[in-house]
Amino acid sequence: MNEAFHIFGKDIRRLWPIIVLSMTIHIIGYCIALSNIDPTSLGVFNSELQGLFQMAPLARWLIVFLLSVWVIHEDRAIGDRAAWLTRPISGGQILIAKVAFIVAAVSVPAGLASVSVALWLKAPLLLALAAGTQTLIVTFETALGFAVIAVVCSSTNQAGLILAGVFASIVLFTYCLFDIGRLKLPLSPFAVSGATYFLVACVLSTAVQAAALGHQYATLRTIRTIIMAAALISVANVGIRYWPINLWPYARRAALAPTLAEQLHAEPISSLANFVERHSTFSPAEVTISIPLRLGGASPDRVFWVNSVTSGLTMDDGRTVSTVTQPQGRQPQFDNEQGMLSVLGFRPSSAPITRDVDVATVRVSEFERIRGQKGRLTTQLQLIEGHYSLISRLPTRLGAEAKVDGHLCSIQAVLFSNGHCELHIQFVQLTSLIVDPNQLRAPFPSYVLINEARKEFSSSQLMGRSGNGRPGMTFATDRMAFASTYNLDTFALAGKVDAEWLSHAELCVFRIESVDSPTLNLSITSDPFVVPTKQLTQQVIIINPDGTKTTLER
Amino acid sequence: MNAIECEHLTRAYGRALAVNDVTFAVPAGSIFALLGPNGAGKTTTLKLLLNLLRPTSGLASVLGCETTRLTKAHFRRIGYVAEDQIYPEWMTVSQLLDYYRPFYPSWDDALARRLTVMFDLPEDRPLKKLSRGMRMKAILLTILPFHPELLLLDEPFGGLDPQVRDDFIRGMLETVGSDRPNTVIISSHDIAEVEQLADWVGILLGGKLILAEPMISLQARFRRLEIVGASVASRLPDRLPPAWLKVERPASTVVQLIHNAFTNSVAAEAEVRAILGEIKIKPYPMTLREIFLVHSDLGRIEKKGQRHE
Repeated sequence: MNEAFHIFGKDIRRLWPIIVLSMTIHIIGYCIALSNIDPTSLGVFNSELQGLFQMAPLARWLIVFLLSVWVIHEDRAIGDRAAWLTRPISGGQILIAKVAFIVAAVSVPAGLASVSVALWLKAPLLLALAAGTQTLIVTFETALGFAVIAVVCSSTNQAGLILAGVFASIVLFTYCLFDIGRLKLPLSPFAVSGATYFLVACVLSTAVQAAALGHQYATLRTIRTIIMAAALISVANVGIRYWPINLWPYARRAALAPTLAEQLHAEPISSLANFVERHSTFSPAEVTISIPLRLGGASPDRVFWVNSVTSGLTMDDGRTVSTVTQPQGRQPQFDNEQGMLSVLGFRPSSAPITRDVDVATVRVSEFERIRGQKGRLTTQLQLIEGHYSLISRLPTRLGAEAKVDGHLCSIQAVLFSNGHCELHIQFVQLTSLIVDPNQLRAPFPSYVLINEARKEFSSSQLMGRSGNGRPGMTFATDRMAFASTYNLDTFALAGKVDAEWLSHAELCVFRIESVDSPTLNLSITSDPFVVPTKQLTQQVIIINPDGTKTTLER
Repeated sequence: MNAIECEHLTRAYGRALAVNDVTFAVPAGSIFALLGPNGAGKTTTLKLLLNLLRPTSGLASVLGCETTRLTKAHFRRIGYVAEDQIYPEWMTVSQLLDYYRPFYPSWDDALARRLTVMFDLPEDRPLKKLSRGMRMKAILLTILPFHPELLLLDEPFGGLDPQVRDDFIRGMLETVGSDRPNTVIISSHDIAEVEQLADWVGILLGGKLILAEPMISLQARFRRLEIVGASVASRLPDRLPPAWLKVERPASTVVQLIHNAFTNSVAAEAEVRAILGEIKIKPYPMTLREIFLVHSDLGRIEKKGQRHE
C-alpha cells in the first residue's frame, strides 16, 4: 500500500497544475451558470454568449478526460516499453494509485465545488452533501470510463479518437437495433427507486471498469481487455435494467397518501381518434394513434406520467394490431395548472384532466391495410403519480431573486411584446438522487402568476428554454409568456397581463415530485371508430402586419 | 549455477520468427555479450527473458524462475537498461532516484551518491533535457544502487561518445562482482567494446543462435589459416569439412581458410594436410569482430541461397 501511495504522490507532483486548473474550471463553470446575466442586454452577442454558456460544462468534462488519460499514461499499460514493467512495481499497486488519483484529484474537487454551491443556494446540509456525493460519484464513474479508454491507448490523441469512436458506435448500434431493427426490450418486472437504480448503476459500472483496468495492468493484453470490457458492459447493463431489489427507499419530504387505483378512472371522451403520420429521415414512417382521455378521481394537486401503454386494435375483419409504447419526455402527460392553485390554497375546479394520449404506433404499411375499417381500441395505461410542490414566490420585477432549499429562482428580464408579457426566469436546483430522487423525472419547474389583490391568475406558456444539467445540479433559463388572466374562483377569462396587473402579481414556482406509490394500471376500451381513408390537411392562415393573408397547408 | 537458461525459445510475429528455437545458458557471474546485426532478435530475446514478451514456444528461466512467473521479488534483483524504455521524462535525476529508491530494499545510498559524482550528472535537470548519453547514465544510476544480481543492457553503447562510454562501463564494473556473483548480459553490435568486457559470447543471426560459448574457448577455436602450396586452390574439395567455415582463393598457390575447430591445433593441421597434401599452414588468431563478420557473411550467403531456391 505504501508503494501505491508513493506512485500516487508521483502522479500528484506531475499533474498538480492540471488539478488546480480543473478546480478553477469547476468553480468558473458554476459561476458562469449562476451569473445573473440578462440575455436581453447582451445585444448582438446574445446567441454567441448563450452558446458559450452551453459549452461551459464541456470544458469541465474535457479537463476530467485529460486528467484521467494523462494519469494513466504516466504508467502506461500498453506495449513493452514502460519502465515500470521491469521494476518491482505490480500492476495492482499502479491500479490502486490511479484509482486513488481519480478519487482525490478528479472527483473530490468536483464534489466539493458542488457542495459549496449547494450551501450557497441555502440547501440543507444533508441535501448539499448528497448533491456533492452524487457529483463526486458521477465524476468518478466518468473519469474511470475515460481511464479504461486510456489504458488501452498509447497517446492522448488515440484516446480522444477512441472515445469519439465508442460514442459513434453506441449511437450507431442503438440506432440499428432499436430504430431500424425496432427491437423492444422487455420492461423490468421490478419497480426500484431512482436512488437504487443510481446506486446499482454506479456499483456495477465501477466493477466493470475496475475489472477492465485491472485486467490490462495485470496482463497487458489489450485485445482481450477490450473484448472483456465489452462483454461485461453488456452484462452490467442487463443487471442495471432488471435489478430486482430495492436497496434505497425514497426519503420523501412530505408523506402524501397515494391515489388508490380504485378511485382513479380514465375514459375516452368520444369516438374521436387522431391519426398522425410521422416521417423521419432514417427510420420508416409511422402512424401514431392518439385519443383524448379524461382522467378523474385524483386529488387536484396530482399529476401523472404515462409510463407505458399497451394497446390492442381489433378491426372488424378480425385483424388485431398490438403495440407497446413508452412515451418519452419528462413533463407529465396529465398535468393541471389548477393543481398548482390548489397547492396555494385556492379552490380548484372539480373538472377532470383531459389530455390527448398517444396509445398506439403502427407502421404506415400496416396502417394502409386497416384504412377505412371499423375498429375498437383496448388500452392498458400504466401511470406514475406525482404532485406539485411550491418552491418559492417572488415579486414579478426585474432582478427579483429567491434562494431557498437548494433552489435559485430569479427574474432576469420582463418584456411586453405582441400583447403578452414575457418573463425570463433563471432556475437552478440541486438534483440529488440519493436524498431526493424525484428530480430525475421532472427536472424543470412550472410557473403561475397570482394577483391576489384582483383574485386573478395567469398561466404560463413556454417560449423557450436553454439549460444544461451537470451531476447534482440543473440550470435553466426559461422564457415564459403570460397573456390572459383568469378569475381564481370561477376560472373565467378576466383580462390581459399588463404592467399594472404585473406590479401586484407574484411569480409562483413549482416543482413536481413523485408520490411514493405503486404504478397505477388503468384499462380503457374506446368506442368503435373508423380509420380514416382521407388525408386531412391542416390550413394555417397568417395575417401579416400589412393586413394581407398567407395560407400554409400541411 | 546458471543465471539464465533458454530452451527452444521461439517468438513469432505472424509468420516471421524473431527468435527461432534458441537454446543457451548464461552461468551466474559471467558477462555475456549477445551479438548480432540489426533485426537479429537480440532485443526480442532480452524482452522474452524479462517477460515483456511471451514466448510462442519454448521456455526461459531467469534466476531460477520461469520468465512467465517473474514476480516483484525477482525484479528487485534484475536491472534492465534500454534506450527505448519510457521513463517519467519530467523528473529530474534526483527525483528519479527518490522515486525508485523505496521499491528496492537493498538500495545503497552511498553507491548512488558515488555514481552520481562519477557520472557527473546534473541532478536538477529533467530527463527530457538530458542528452542521450546522459539519459542512459541516469537510467543506469537508478539500477546499479540496488546491486542487481542480473543486469540486462540492450544496446547500451550506441551513439555514446568515448567519455560517456567509459563512464558507463566504469559505473557498471563498480558493482559487478563486488559482493555477489552478478551476471551481465549486453546486447550490442559494438563488438570491440564488448570484447574487452565479456567472458561469454552468443551470436544471433536472423533469430537463430549461431553460437554461445566462453570467450576463451571461442578465441581458441577460431583461426584464419593462410595455406600456401603448389596449385593448392585447385585441390580444394567440392564439399568442405564442417570445421572449414569459409575459404578464399586470392591466388592459385594461396588459400585463406577460416577454421572453427582449432583448439587442438596439431589435429586440425593434420586434417587440413590430409585433404590438401603438401602445404605450408600459417595460423592467425581471430578477433571477435572477425569471427562475428564471418558468421554474418555466411548468414547472408545462406539467406540469399534460400531466396534463390
